[in-house]
Amino acid sequence: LLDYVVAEDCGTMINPMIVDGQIQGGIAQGIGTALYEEIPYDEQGQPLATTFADYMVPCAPEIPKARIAHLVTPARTTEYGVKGLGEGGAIAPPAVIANAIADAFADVRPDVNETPLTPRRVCEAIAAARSANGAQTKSALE
Amino acid sequence: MKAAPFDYIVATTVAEASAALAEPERSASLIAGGQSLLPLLNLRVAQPDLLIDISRIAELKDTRKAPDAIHVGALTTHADVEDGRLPDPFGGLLRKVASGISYRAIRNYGTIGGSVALADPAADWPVCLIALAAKVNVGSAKAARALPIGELIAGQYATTLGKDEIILGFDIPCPAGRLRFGLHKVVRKSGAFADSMALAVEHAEGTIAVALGGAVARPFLLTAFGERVRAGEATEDGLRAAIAQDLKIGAPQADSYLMRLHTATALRALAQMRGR
Repeated sequence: LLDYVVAEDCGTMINPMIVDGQIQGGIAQGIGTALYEEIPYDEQGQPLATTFADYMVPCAPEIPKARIAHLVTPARTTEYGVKGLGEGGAIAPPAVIANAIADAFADVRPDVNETPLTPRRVCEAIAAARSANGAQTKSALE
Repeated sequence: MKAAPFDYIVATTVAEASAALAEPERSASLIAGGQSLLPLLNLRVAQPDLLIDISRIAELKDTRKAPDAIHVGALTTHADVEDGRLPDPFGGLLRKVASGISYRAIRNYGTIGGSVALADPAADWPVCLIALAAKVNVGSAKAARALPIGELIAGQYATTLGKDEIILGFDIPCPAGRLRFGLHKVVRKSGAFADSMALAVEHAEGTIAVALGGAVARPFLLTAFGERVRAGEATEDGLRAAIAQDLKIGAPQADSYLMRLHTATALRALAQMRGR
């Protein structure tokens, strides 16, 4: 991940440092969902990720420092005009990263819609799109 | 989890360690740096009833440069190599490989001999030593022998070591002139074992060796690819066909994704080598 940018609106920021920390931490968790965390089962129903040796989570080197922009629109119905902000950071990364991959391969138009976005899933989605594109081109020529 | 109970001895000579290994009806395991063995013990994947600590055997720390080869003692740690405490007539290749192994805490303790003895097909040293045509010195209480590294590694976590044999060290032939190399490794995250790893090495006289490891049964040389490169193959299709030929032999289980992955790492290692 080369860069990660967030624009958020949690209303009045009571402690801006905590706001930034919550967002950065949420993104770390969301990157785990997007790229790493998965509990697969084999055909007999045996779980294949039962320790942290198999269940991958992002560590510091995998998490970029997010650039954060704050829009401050105070809520009218809460004390001080605050809104929730704890979970926002964690929700977007799967969609954000999947869309970044789709954009990087825009010429191929792969279906990038299953997380975690493992190298195998992404590579197979691109290969499938390439062969479908090839078949389309062929049928268009025929 | 914690390891199952085991006995523990500290050996001070190869002969002593070998004699302990040879004891019948005991499953003994050598321990040096312990960076792979300890997790295996704790997960109870490995349950030896005797651990033989070889980390204090002086003869396994013997590292020196001879005119035609460097000898690397089995107990040399990855950090020793990374920090340049080893002669490296390979243009920085050994340091580069060492610095890419897992993370620093592991490299402080993990040894080159332990890495090869475990024979994980995704480990870094076997790939490197195969590309450099290294020989491994093996000894027991009774005898010693040397064999090409490719003949030591029999498969996934399997070696041809006898029950009483210990890896003493490695002889890596020195290059005649300048050596160029390219190393490409695909890992899911920092510190993880490679899904695919290729090392391309070109000697001054033009010989090219490309070794591949990762999600394969054991690391191996891409010989057809190396020859095609040396012969001056100019097209990428030609190179891809050569790699496919090698993978058919060395990685017959590879599905289409792994074929693409290994092909990409081999081509990137080559491109990197040519860029040097």
